[in-house]
Amino acid sequence: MELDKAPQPLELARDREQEFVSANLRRVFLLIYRVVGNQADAQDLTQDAFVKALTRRDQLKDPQKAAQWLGRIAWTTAIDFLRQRKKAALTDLGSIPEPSHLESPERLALRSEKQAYLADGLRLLSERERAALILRDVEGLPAAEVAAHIGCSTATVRSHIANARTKFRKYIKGRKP
Amino acid sequence: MSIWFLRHPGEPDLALFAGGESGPITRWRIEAHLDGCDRCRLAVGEFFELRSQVMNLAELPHVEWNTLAAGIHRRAQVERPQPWPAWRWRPAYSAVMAVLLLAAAGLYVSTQPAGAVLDASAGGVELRLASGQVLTFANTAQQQTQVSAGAISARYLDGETGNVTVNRVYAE
Repeated sequence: MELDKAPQPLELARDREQEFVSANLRRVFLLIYRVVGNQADAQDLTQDAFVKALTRRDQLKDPQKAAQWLGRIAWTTAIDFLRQRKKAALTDLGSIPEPSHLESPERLALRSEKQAYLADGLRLLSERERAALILRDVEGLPAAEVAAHIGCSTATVRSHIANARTKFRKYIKGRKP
Repeated sequence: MSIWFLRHPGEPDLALFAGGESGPITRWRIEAHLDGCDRCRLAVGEFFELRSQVMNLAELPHVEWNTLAAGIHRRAQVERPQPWPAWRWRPAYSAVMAVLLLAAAGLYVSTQPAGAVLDASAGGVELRLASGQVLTFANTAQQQTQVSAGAISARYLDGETGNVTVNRVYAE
């Protein structure tokens, strides 16, 4: 989904903005949520990231790369937040997904346990390793695109991904009974 | 198999191999190594398993997406830098600017030294200053002119529309 930087008729521009937000909202939220680990903060920061992108669209050099540009904004927004708050904590049990009314309590408990287990594993990673792992293995983006999102070279991203998987594997092996 | 293939690849190389990020040469070397190494095959299998587990992190808490999107649009509207006033406001801006210009001109004239000469002709009202500068209220079709000390009043009739314009200029 592109984001036009040229001035457009008001209604058309509004429609394009809405499409842009809808197409990228979940991905941006996921990245921020998994980096900051807190739903309320992630929602605020997601808003911040989109507002920055929509109000500074004149800084977008290539409209074809609007999604990457937005991802970069989301990433820096999350990192700035963590630096300000000096808080690198990830998802804790209090912010684990809210129960759905369709699931049985046993299944919910199992799912919450699994999520908490994985979120604990994410804590072992640096912020860049965390973002690289989420964008590559959860979102399925190619390494070059992950690099564009977090603002480093493809080689560095590959190194972050390798480190993240290695740490995570050790964590999983260590937790197995 | 040569001795080269017997050397175990590093764990990061296996991690990248499992995700398909290895370069062609590394991939070929690891594939050849895996044929004869159970330990590395097991490690690659664990990395595959790990990737499928990590997919569970895609699961998100319940979010009111529409509310979130609406909040973004609302804030973007408020925080967006305001563009140049819309075309419909331009006449009003032009009128204000004209009034300001006229006021400035009046102020300029009022601060000129004594000795200014006022004159009215069919072309308009002229204010000739001692410094040689001339300020003209251009108009046409003069009908009537009244001159008094330091002031002039001229009536102009537009032959086409019938509009009457009265120019009163004071020099102090």
